[in-house]
Amino acid sequence: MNKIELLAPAGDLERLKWAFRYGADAVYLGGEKFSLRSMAKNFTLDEIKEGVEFAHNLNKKVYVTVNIVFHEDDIEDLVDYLKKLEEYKVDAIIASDMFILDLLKENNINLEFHLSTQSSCLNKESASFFKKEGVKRVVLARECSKNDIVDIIKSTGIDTEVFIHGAMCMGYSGRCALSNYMTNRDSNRGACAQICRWVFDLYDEKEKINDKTDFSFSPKDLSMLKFIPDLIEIGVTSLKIEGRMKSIYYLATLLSVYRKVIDDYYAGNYEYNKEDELILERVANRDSLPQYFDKKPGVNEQYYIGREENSNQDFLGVVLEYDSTNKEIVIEQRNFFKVGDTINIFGPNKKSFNLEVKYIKNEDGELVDAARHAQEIIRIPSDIEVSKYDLIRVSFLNR
Amino acid sequence: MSKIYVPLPKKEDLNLFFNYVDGFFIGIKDYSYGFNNIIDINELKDYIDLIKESNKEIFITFNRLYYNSEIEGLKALIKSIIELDITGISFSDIGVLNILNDLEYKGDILWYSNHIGTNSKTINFLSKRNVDLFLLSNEITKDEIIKIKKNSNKIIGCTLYGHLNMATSSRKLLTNYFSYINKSKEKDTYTIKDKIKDKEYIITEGFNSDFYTKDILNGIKYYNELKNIIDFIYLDDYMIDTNEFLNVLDSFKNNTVTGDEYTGFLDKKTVYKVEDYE
Repeated sequence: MNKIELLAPAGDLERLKWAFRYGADAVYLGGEKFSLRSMAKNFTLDEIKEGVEFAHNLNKKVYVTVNIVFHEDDIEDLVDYLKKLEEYKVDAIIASDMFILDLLKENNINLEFHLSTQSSCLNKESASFFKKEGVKRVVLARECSKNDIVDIIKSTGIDTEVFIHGAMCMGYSGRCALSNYMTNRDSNRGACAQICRWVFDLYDEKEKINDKTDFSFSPKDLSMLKFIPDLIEIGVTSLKIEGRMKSIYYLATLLSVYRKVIDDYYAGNYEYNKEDELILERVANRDSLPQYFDKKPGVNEQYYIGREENSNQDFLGVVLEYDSTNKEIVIEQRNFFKVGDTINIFGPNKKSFNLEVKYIKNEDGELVDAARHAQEIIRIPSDIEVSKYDLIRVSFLNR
Repeated sequence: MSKIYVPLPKKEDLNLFFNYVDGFFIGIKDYSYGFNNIIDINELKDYIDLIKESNKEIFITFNRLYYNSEIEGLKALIKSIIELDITGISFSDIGVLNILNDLEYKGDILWYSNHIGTNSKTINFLSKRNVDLFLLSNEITKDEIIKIKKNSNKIIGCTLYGHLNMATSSRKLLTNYFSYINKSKEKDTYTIKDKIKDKEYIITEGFNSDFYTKDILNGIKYYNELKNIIDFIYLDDYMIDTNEFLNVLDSFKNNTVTGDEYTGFLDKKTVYKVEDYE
């Protein structure tokens, strides 16, 4: 049995590298054209090339999203772009507009095609259609239940990719144009204004339904943490994390948790760990739930007062190096912490640990009472050796 | 000259429509949405007989996305429907096309594209897979519609009248909200008002939750130009009174432009690039 793939978003080259460091088997990213998330920085062609080389040196993969719904004037340059992706040995494109399948064939472009979730593939007939067309993998609609996924895999044998964590669309992907109508921003071309995070008043004719509670249709986030073993057992090919615009801290935190869960499962050591749930809850700043996998979402799977997000300052710093002579960790600071605080250090392939901050030295080697300035370089003592790219967060785990 | 297609009216009103239209889109209970008169499969034969007397076309409309658990029922339904004297079948879910192709269906197949019929290449792709007619997305401009027709040369249509569907959610958004506020939901259709712009939209709940414009698209001022270029127009009566709709049909027939109307995206491009905002 092939090991299931852990697929992470990469908003830029830096995040691509962080994703691989923290255990992603593959990343997906958007180029400057033809990709949803038109507001994100996205990758230049040179950066895509560099990202692919970086990935392939680690024996990992890069998928490029070409997932807008094309309008007539958007198509120019697409063939040249796809040829470049082929030349750079991109492992697959993730696309929704069907004509790209013909375009690849007509132009002898050898790129694997993964059907984007924007196509809302919900059933075996749809999956079968695309399999016959040469689609290697289907990113299933987020509305699929476990039974749906099982039957689609059994009936078609197509590779499937399933979202396991991140933000949810209120509507069927590709079938929501609220942003177009309410802001003139084209949701299917990457400019979604996230109307489902807005609040409205609900009326019956002229009568407002409720003065106290706004009408909102903002879904809570998705978390499939407790169903990872199920997804492996039913034969899903790839587990996908949403969030090309999220921070490296968010990405590293999610990947470290899901990587461990997957590896533990294959090693026969899997046990559901409440601590993992707590870590994911803390980093997301929104509630997250399984949504459609085990039941149809109801009243508890959405918010009613718009965004319910708590910004957190959990991310304290990045380990730049470990000075084994002086037994000090060199850190680039991200958020305030002070002498006497207990911090938590985590990194790829290691168990996180808590550490009390005995002292803090600034860049000049002077003792200071706190790390106050973002990106300042500081030192703290630690007998436990840490590694470059380990991350430091507020200690919220009872250790 | 474009043909005019409309949703199926009630049986008693059918005669009133025959003078104005070339064919009807029929919605089937549990498998279609966005119809005032959505019929049970058992009623279909009667309607077909009545419509065929007037030589009008009939498209059975499968415009939903279907869950895997619904597929066997859907297949059985399609098998029974294609035996009937209809013009064709329209679909949104590509799974329906797969079923029709597996059945080697010989009637017309119409792509009810919802929000994703926006370019000629996709039209050509589907045409090679046996699709014959294409109802384009409502989120493109008149000029784009014309360009798609010219670049594809297929049987192209667009919606020129009706409340426009903006989005579909599988969540029971009204039921959930009423449950949250501990109040009973008494209807399936309500209005939502955007708090910033004070603009109203319609939300309905059936199998899914659907959002519609409260404004009614009326593209009659572009009809003269379009009718000689595209092959059909769809005029949608959903949530519109029959008499009012008949007046609209009359205005299209007689080309009566009534003044400033909501024209949706027919003359307004959506934006999506950073530079579009500058």
